[in-house]
Amino acid sequence: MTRLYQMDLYEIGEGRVLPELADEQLADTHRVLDLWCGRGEWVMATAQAHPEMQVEGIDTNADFIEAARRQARLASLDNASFRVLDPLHASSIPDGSFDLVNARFVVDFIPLDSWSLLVREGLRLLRPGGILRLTEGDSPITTSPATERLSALLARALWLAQRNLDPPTNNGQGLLVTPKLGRSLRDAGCLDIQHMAFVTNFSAGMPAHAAVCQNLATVYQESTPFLLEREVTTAEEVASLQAQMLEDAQAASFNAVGFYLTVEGKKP
Amino acid sequence: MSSDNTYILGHTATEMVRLTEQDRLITMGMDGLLPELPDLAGIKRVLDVACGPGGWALDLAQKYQHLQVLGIDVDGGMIDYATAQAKAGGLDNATFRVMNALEPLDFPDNTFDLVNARFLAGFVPQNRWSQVIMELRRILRPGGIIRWTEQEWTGTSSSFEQAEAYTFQAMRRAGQLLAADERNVGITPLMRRFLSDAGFRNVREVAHALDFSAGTGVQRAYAQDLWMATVLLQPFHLALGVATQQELDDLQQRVQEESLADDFYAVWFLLTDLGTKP
Repeated sequence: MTRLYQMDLYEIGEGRVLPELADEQLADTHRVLDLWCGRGEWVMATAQAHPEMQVEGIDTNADFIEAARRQARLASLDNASFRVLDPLHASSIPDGSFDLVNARFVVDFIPLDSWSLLVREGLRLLRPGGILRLTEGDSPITTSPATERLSALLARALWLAQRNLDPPTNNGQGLLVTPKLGRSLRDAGCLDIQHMAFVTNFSAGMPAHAAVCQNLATVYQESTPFLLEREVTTAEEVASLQAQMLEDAQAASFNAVGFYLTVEGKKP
Repeated sequence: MSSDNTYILGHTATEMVRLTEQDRLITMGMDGLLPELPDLAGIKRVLDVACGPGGWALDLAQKYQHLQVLGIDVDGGMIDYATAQAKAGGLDNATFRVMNALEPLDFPDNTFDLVNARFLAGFVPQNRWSQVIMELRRILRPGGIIRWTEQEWTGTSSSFEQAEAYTFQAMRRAGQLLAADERNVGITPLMRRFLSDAGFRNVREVAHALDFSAGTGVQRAYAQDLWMATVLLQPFHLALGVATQQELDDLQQRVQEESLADDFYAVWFLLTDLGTKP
């Protein structure tokens, strides 16, 4: 399946990464790892913004890694590197190799019951005092009925898919991922847990409009087979909703926000 | 509904208690009364719109004695309480008046340096937003700031999710829902637009997240808020015919159990929009 909503794409494009870290924390951060780095957007933005850091991205998708390497070469980023590796089984990387381990918008790659595994593996890769940094969002909120319907269908399909893994604790109206971030770090014994909330306004006319709408279109395009497999909609309905969504997003009256949450904790 | 009883949680002493406690939690979760405005230069006269029992206005007046803080609310009981609190605390710089934010406000143009408003979506009908925001603009001086906060909730209580669904359905029927569907109130995507349309400049948006999952230390306090809200929304749910008394009674029981459970997870997102009157 595809990566879900990436509400920080515009921020990353502007080079705004690690906004919450104070200068003294940044000074202690040299080796950075991004789990499920995709095509390497975050790794490259971080490597660019912080030439003093060595930033590595890993992902199971070899095509993504190849694309990321190509981009890094084009941008002459010597401090960005990539390799094909499953972040949940990264035993080839020694313990304590990193000062900061990042995972953003990965909910779709890992079933919700694997969060504890993700956190455990992330902590293993960190030195004591290193920072584990998780970022997720819920469904965006828009004034487009078609977009809202697609978000509801996707939330519903994910809920049905996860129901077998985890007894349902909600009715499948939302993704319900942001509330679990803090808890997963607390349960793993992380220290100094911090929450940072962000909002991206991608209404018509806003700088983030194009990037986030493009991301939504891709998400709904690529998740169609999943929606059909879970029988939450029909091929006709989803095609019509997608077309309507694209039209709505171009209207001057289109308004939309996406909230996302970064939660950080230190390895004891 | 007539325009003085559009508040979906109603006007009761219980709501006063809930709002007082909620205000404390929000200020704590936001790390302050005006976290986005650390520099209060040029701010002297402050209005808090729909101030409820006055918690925010009283705390602001207490912390910044050079400010003149005025709170308005449609509910006389809330205003009496807030006034008594100001008196008991010896706060000469905090005053309160009964006034309905849906009507023209009894202030001259250009009166305030800062207008604060929180959770307007609980009482503003769908077709009255631009009028309400324009009126707040009118009473701000040029260069004055509007600070407006609304919220989105996400958590693992299926019963509170159901209670919300009833609320959104009832709001739809009452003409108070902006959302394209019935999964949220629909105000957060529109706040920036409303401020821009009313002529505010330099609009910026700041999000806060309040985690009140099990293990956070504030779970019980928020659970109480959710439960009280569910109970207080019953008359609204019943009046709009979205559920039966029996369904609502069962629901509030389950909200209490689920929000106090050891596997309860929840995050409350607050969105604050700030804009300047040209």
